[in-house]
This record gives sequence, structure tokens and C-alpha cells, in this order.
Amino acid sequence: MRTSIAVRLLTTTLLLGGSALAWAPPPADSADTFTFAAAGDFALGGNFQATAAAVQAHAPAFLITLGDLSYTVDGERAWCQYWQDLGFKNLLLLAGNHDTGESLGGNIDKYLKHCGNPFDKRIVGTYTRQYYLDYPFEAPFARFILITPGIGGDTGGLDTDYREGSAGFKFTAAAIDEARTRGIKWIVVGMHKNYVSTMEKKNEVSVDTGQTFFTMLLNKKVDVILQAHEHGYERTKQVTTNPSTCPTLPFKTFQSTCIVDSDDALVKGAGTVIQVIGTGGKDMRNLEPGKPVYKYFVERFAYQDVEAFGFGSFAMTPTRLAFTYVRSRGAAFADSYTISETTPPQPAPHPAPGLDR
Amino acid sequence: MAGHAVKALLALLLAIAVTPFAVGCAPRNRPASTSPGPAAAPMIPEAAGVEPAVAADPSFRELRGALLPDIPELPAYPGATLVGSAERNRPNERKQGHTIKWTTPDSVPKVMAWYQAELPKHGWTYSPPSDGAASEQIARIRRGSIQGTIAAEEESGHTEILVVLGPR
Repeated sequence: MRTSIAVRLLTTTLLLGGSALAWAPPPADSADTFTFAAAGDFALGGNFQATAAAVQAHAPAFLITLGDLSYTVDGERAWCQYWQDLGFKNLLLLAGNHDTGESLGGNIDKYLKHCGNPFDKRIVGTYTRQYYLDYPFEAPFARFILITPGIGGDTGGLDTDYREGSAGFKFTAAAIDEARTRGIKWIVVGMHKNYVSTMEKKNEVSVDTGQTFFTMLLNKKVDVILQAHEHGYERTKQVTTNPSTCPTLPFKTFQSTCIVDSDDALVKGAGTVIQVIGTGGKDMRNLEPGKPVYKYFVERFAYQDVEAFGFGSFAMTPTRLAFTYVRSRGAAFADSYTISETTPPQPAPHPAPGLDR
Repeated sequence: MAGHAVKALLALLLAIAVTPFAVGCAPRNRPASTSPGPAAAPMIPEAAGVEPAVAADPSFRELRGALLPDIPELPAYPGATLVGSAERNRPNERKQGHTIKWTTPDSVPKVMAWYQAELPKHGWTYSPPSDGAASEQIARIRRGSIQGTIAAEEESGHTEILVVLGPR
């Protein structure tokens, strides 16, 4: 057994290129801290293998797979087997368009068969398509809502048009509200497709007038929305809606009044960060810096001629989320930010009685 | 005033009616390069009230069924139908390059193998995709001060070829 672990560590080190890559193991999980990872758009090539090895070495509590897993017909077994051979089994599966038959690729039901469901009865809803998970199990302070708006092909009988009044809309809204009622502090919503992007894709997740689904997520100020589909990395500034100057977040034009915070030290509850982490291994596509929506994103947010594969690492406590991009292969690239609860200002100490100033 | 409005509406309706034919009639066997096609009128989808066919944003100029005149020479996949070409910036803003889209009934691997063989003959460097998936492949290309990608993706039984070019 020890030999096996040593071999695995050696293999991981070799795959990661020794100590050249900038990553650090997350803090050990405890009752009030854990780390999860997220990425999508993997395929089966060397980039995917490097990312998988980096995830295994990083040892997050789980990896949210944001869809488009192997891109290969009958590739499900090989994709799942690769993770299992590495010794990483805590995959939270979510379907993308290349996993449902909307586009050519694998079959999400076969991924489930080969990868399994590591959290089994902890899952609420339809695993791989529309569900949530609370974590840590004993005293959860984060809820992960993973859904499939805009996904076509075999939807497993679910309506993937999440507009207001639909079952998907109600499921998501209720999951957010119920988490808040229970005092679960962090709400992370994951989906494959995009709403606003400064790469090539258009809004495919909230296409009705008023963008009712995405507007609901922003109205409720979920903390982070995770997506893939675009092969690259993008992070918006913290955005939110408000009735007077940003009733909806425009996805074709830039509306500065939807921005609440542009730096990397964000305040919890002020708004939402939208992150596209389609960096699991599939070759990257192009940034479109000429798009008006470019200004929604932080300056160092994505790739032009840089391909830096990897995943997002989120270190969570009840009061703080710290994100770091973990590069597995390719050119140098870094991104990080925090979301923290504001602490009330400490009262100024009273001068000691009788002390003249 | 009302007459002008009617004329403008008729012109818009005519443009919308003609566009699908223009796309459908694009020559399937174009010369094997991206030489500019016959002069046609570029449009801004946002202004015309239509969704873009090629452009990454509705505010970018696009030309359906033909190539914009300043697109670099690039071999075109034989027999592919040219959907159109577009700029990657708003008019009068910094030039970001071009997007060109074709469709073909041929498979993704066949299309990418052709580009891998053909592009170097025209001075392009071709960096092959990192995986050989039949569903989608993306290669990096480069020549002089230009770089970009060729993406071939299976879409509802045909393959969409998307070439994106920009400055290095």
C-alpha cells in the first residue's frame, strides 16, 4: 500500500512538472473549514490528465465537474477510470451539452455508472442534472446547487428551460431560500452553460424576456455562480441587480450600475461573482476583448494566447471564501480573490479614567 | 415621413427575406482560399434587429455568405459552405481580427486532418489539438503577426468550422 502511494505521489509530481507549478495544498478540513474544487471541459488528453493529477494532489473535499467530461462517444469508462486510478473519487457530476447528446460526446448516465455517486443519500434532487448538496455534512455552512439550464439532448425528463414558473426555477429558488432559512451561509450555484461571456458563447441559460432565471439568482445574491462551456477562464467583478439602475444584468451590453465591487476583497452579501472555469483540459478558445461586456470582468481574467489548464480552488469557512486558480499545465496564470463577512467596527477604547490627553 | 418609414420597413423585410438565400446559395466549392468574395454589404446584426450568424457580438460587423475584404489569406476546406465572416470589434474601435464560419457534412477529424496538411503549405504554423475527440477539436494557428484558432465541432449532424484570427 505504501509503495502504491509513493508511486502515485511520484507520478503526480512528474505530471505536475516537479515543483515548478504554483500551487499549495489547501488547509486540512475541519468542522469549520474545507476546500472544494471546480472545473469543466476536460476531454481525455494530456491536459485533462495534468488537471486530474493536480486535483488529486490538492486533495479538495470534492470536485464539481461543470460538464463536458470526455467529449468522446463511449469515453465514459476511461474518463472515470482515470480518476479512480489516481485515487480521487469525490466527483460531483454535472451534465454539459457534450454529455447529454445535445452535442456529440458521452452519456451522463454512463458517467454516473462508472464514476458512481460518492455522496449518495446526501444528494437532494436528480443527481448529475438538478440537485443540491450541503457541506460539511454534520454542520453545513455551504449549499451547492448544481443545475442544467439550457442543456438539450436527453434531459432525463427534466425541463431545462428555467424561466420563471418552471420546475427548474422553482427548485433552484426553493433551494436558495431553504438554505438561508436554515442558516446555511454560502450559496454556490453551478451550471454548464453561460449567461454573460467575453469569449464566444452567447446567453443560453436565461433566454426569456427579463432573463427571469438569472435575474432571480442575482436578486437573491447567491455568492458564486460557476460555469464552463467556454474553454477558458473568466471572472466577473461582483455584480448585483437593483430595482432602479440594474433590474437585470444586461448580457449584450455593459451596465456599470450592476457592478458593486471591482477589486479582489469582496464583501459577502453584496452581490455575486460569475466564474467560468472551462479549463479542465479541452483546448482553449478565444477571448473577445472587443465585446462590450468585456468590462464586466476583472482585468486579468482570461486567456488570449495563453493556455493555462487547471481548476478553481475555494477554501471555505463560515465567514470567508478564498479562491485561488490552480494551474495544472501551460503558461503562467494566476487569479485569486476573497469574499468575507464584514466585521463590525471595534469601538474605540475609552481613555483610562483620570488620564489627561 | 410615413412614406420613409414604410420604405425603411420594406427594405428591412427584404433584407431579412433575402439573407437565408444568400447564405444557402454561397458556393459550396469555393476556391481553396479565403480570397475576398464578391462585394456585398456588411451589416451590424444589432442594428438590423437580427441575431448574428457569425459575429461573437451583435454589435460587430458581419457579412453573410462572403468574406470581408481584409481577411488574411487562408485555405478554405474544400466543399464547405461559407456561412459568413465578421469583425471582432465594433466599428471604429481597435481592430481585434476576424471570425469566419463554414459548415460541412464531413467529420471533425477529417476536417482537422485536412487543415493540418494544408495550412503549412500556405505559410501557417499549425499546432494540433491536444486530443482527438470526434466531437470537437481546436488547433492553434499562426503566421507572421497573426494568430488564432481553428475549431471544428459537430453540430446536429454536420461540422461547424470556426476560424478566429487576431493580432499576436
